[in-house]
Amino acid sequence: MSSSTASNRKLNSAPVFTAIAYTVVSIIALVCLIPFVVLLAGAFSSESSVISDGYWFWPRDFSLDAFKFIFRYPGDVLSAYKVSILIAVIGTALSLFCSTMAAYVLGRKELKHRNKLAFFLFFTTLFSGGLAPYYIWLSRNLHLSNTYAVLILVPMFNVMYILILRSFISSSVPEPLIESARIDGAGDLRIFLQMILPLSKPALASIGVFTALAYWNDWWTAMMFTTKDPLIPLQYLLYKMLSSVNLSSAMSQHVTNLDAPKETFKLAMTVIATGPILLVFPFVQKYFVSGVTIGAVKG
Amino acid sequence: MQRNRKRMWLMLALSVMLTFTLAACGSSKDKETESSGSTTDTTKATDTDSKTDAAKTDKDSSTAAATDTGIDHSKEVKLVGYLLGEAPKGMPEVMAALNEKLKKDINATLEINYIGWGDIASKYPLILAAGEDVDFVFTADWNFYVQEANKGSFKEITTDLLQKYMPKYYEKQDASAYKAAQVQGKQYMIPTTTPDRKVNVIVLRKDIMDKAGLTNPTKISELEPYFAEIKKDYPNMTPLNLDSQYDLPAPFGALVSEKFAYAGAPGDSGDPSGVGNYMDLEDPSGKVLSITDEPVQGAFKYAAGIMKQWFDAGYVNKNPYSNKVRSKDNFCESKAGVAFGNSIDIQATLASCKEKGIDTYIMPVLSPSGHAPANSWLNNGVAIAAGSKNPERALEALDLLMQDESYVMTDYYGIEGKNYVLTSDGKLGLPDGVAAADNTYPPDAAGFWFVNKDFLKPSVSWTDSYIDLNNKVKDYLIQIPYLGFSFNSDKVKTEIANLKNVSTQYFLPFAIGSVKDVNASFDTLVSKMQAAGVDKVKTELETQASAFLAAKG
Amino acid sequence: MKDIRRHWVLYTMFLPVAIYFIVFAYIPMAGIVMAFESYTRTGGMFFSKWVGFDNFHYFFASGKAWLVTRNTIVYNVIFLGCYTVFSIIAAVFMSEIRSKFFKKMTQTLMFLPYFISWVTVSAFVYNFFNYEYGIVNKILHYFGMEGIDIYSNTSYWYFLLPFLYVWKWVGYGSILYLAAIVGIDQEIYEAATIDGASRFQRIMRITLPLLKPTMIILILLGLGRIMRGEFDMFYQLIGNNGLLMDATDIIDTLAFRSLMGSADFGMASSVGVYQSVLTLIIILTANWLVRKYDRDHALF
Repeated sequence: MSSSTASNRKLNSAPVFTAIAYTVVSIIALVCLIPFVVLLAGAFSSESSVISDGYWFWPRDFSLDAFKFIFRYPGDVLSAYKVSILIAVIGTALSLFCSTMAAYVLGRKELKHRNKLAFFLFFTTLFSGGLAPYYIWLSRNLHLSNTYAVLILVPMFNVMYILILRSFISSSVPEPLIESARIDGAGDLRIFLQMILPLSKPALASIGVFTALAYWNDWWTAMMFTTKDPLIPLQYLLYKMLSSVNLSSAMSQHVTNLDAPKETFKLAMTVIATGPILLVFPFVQKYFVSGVTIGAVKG
Repeated sequence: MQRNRKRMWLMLALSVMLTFTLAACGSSKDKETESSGSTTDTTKATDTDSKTDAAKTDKDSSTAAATDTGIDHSKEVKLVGYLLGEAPKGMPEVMAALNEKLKKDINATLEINYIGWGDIASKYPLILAAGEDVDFVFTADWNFYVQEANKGSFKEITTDLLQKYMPKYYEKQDASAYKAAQVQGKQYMIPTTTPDRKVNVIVLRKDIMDKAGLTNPTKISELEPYFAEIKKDYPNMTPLNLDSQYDLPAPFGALVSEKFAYAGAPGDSGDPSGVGNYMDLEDPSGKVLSITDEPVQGAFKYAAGIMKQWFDAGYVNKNPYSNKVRSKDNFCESKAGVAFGNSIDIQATLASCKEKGIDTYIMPVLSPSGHAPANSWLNNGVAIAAGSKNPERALEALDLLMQDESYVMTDYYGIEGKNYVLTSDGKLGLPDGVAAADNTYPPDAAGFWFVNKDFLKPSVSWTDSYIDLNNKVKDYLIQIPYLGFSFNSDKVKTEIANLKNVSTQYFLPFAIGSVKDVNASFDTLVSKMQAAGVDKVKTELETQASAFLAAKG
Repeated sequence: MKDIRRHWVLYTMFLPVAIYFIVFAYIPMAGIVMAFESYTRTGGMFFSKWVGFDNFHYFFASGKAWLVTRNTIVYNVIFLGCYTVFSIIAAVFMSEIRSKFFKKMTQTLMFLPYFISWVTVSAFVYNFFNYEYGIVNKILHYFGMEGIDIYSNTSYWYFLLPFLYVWKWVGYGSILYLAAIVGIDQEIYEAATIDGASRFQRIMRITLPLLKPTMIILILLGLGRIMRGEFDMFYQLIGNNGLLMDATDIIDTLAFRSLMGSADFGMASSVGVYQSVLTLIIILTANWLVRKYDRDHALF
């Protein structure tokens, strides 16, 4: 903690205010936590106890069946983790760089067409040709089916994030700063790389988290565009398992998965998909819980 | 100057686009060689395993080759098929075994892709619309057959084609199956030769039946004391614990069936009999009935009246729309008093109850004459995609996959000694050390549901009551006048879409008895259906139905 | 053109994103014509039979077009309002908390619901509230009170749906607002503190005004989704429950129910076109209003 914030505390400590802040935040956090605890407990319960007694705050009949079921073929799960991590890392890096660059451009007041460009992007969120043309175009014309490229490209950009980045950049990087850099002879690219990127770390971190999550949670692209096992990301693998336990039992003539966990499977699936994110989250978090001082970059 | 710039702009955009596409192409090609490399590896690996198998099938295939009718097989082709569900873990080995045989018999190899259960509605039409890399695809009357046929997604199947390329199939199939498969006068489906034999059933618990003093009930309306007993002595059990999908209209349907031969299609299926247009299935004249005609009106009010009594007495769970657990899945957990299912899918429930020591009683849902309609051929079938480059070879491959016993055993049950063994009495069992849950290629799971099921074997794990039921099912089933009829909703799309809505909002509450007044809600239902255009659907249905009956002769 | 020549570096920096959206959005967008066609394979996307507005007919003939349009807008406005207010409250209070551990911890917890899919949420809601053995009713019965039946009573859902929506998204929203707060130059706060501003004053005078641009942009972006609605939420929680339908049916659920199993490309995209056109009108109006009062913060 820097010395200036320490002096803040001395200057105006407001115990009532602090108490309110802690209480409000705690209540919201608890409301969010409780269902997750129930979910965790359910994931570690036996299928029959969940069906007959419902959910509870701790496992009433402890069992690892759901996890055992998911890890029946550990190789598949590991390969799926690998694919997911790979596309999330590459995709997020590419997406974040290009998005921020575009966002910076959109915020430059000297560009006459910047509003047109913003509208050019925004329009795509309003109108789309629908699923059929998209699928046919990507698979038949661009031949993207069954490639890593499709897994990275489809969820790549989110217009919303580009526009949010634009507003973050313009509110956290003061215009005079850019002007002075320009007078010093810096080009747009250099200003972007050396000034905008470091100064928008909180924004980059938060949008980065969302982009990474979009990749991580995306089963749809894999569902539509892949048929080959080595290309299956985690969420799609889990999704496939879920739909097969749910629906094939209704079709099957033979006793295949007599006791396949269904209810607990759903819960365990959430745990498995959420776990890694929760481990990585705190590392990114520091960028948006601690502030940025512009002077630090300027000096 | 300006024009030049524009052109440059365009060129730039195009070249970037091209690099994009090329990069994609390159990587997809890499993938392909990579994956084909790995399949050859597995072929080699399983080679030794299946040597005995191969030796055995050698004989079969040589006879097949002998009867070859001079079809040119000189060019090797790769066929791609799409089935529903999920590739079982053991799929690569089974494919290797199948491909070895196919290569020898018709110089073709096969790749099977799957459309997951949850994705059918979005993916199935798209694969056919984009359709370059697909030769054959699973289809059925419940799975977009008529809709896709209307769109022209399938190749037409002619008798000549079948005779030439699918001789085994042609010999086996009933000619009326071809009629049934016609959409606007043309056939696009290769329907199964062996439609499923199944009848809806209701399962009860023997112990509660005894307490309630009930012996051998045959109708659902006789179950009142059974429900009352549950309500009295089993506080955690709901007599009719219905789920949102399957069970919801089941008791209502069973009650209506006591009055006439009724088959309630699901309200969201787009089948006119789901909403507003009904038939007495055993009526030879095949008259189309409105909801206000008899016997429909009387039967509906009778059924809804009983359901309302039961609902008010607390026999029905209050929130079936949000319950996603089927009664057959929590019946053995003592959560549901009865289990609804059909004679095929109820198997797992019976086995699980037996394990828990619960004695069960199975009650088939039958029409007043004691029958149930036989299933249509169109329940399971396969079609050739319109974009197929090798339709003839695909037909030949299908002939083998569907009608050659050694192929059927492989595509349905997997590899002998690894996925199944045959016991001395001809039953299907698991090899030593393989539990049902570890079987990498469980029976039925690979989606080859259109094969000739006469080749299939009973399983050693079937319970006696199940075998007993299965034997009886044959006697229950009768051929109904409309067997194989499927409605083409192309001309009344708007009306069908709105009727589906009406069904959800007004028919379902009526069917579970949660309405305040049976007569009033019946009247609302009728008026809503009329507003949605039920009469127009009826006219269209009558036209198609009489054309169907006339063609059948 | 002159502008492009002068600022060619900036325009080039925009190029990757522009190309992406041309390839992945604008080209497939041509498929919108399918909403006006009766698709056949031989006709393909552009040469199938032109049927004008026939594909839209089912939606307007359902007699519920106005009802579901109204429901969609009303729910989304309520959702957007609650979400914005709660996210800002959470973010502002969090920024005032000094303990880094507590801050990180609560933020992680708030983010948890984001991972719980609506299918699972609906299973939870059913377990909590179902009439026969739901936890809530068990508790009510224990105290000798009448049980509640939320699945046949629309009034509970007016509260429950926004609550669940906020619950699911508050973590997400608060991260965005917190990032905006953290992005504010610390020197401004320090200067204010030296001038003797209290913490409450700092929030009112510095934090909230500086959050305005973020808030405006997020609300405008939220309006861009106003006709879509959280389909999964409504479909999983309400499903086919006819008793709740008049109060909880939105455009997407109506279209889904009507078209299930029909595989008709034209009818499927017609509702999308309807939603898009309405959204375009709404968003252009909103953007115009913002431009009028605060030129810098408009979307475009």
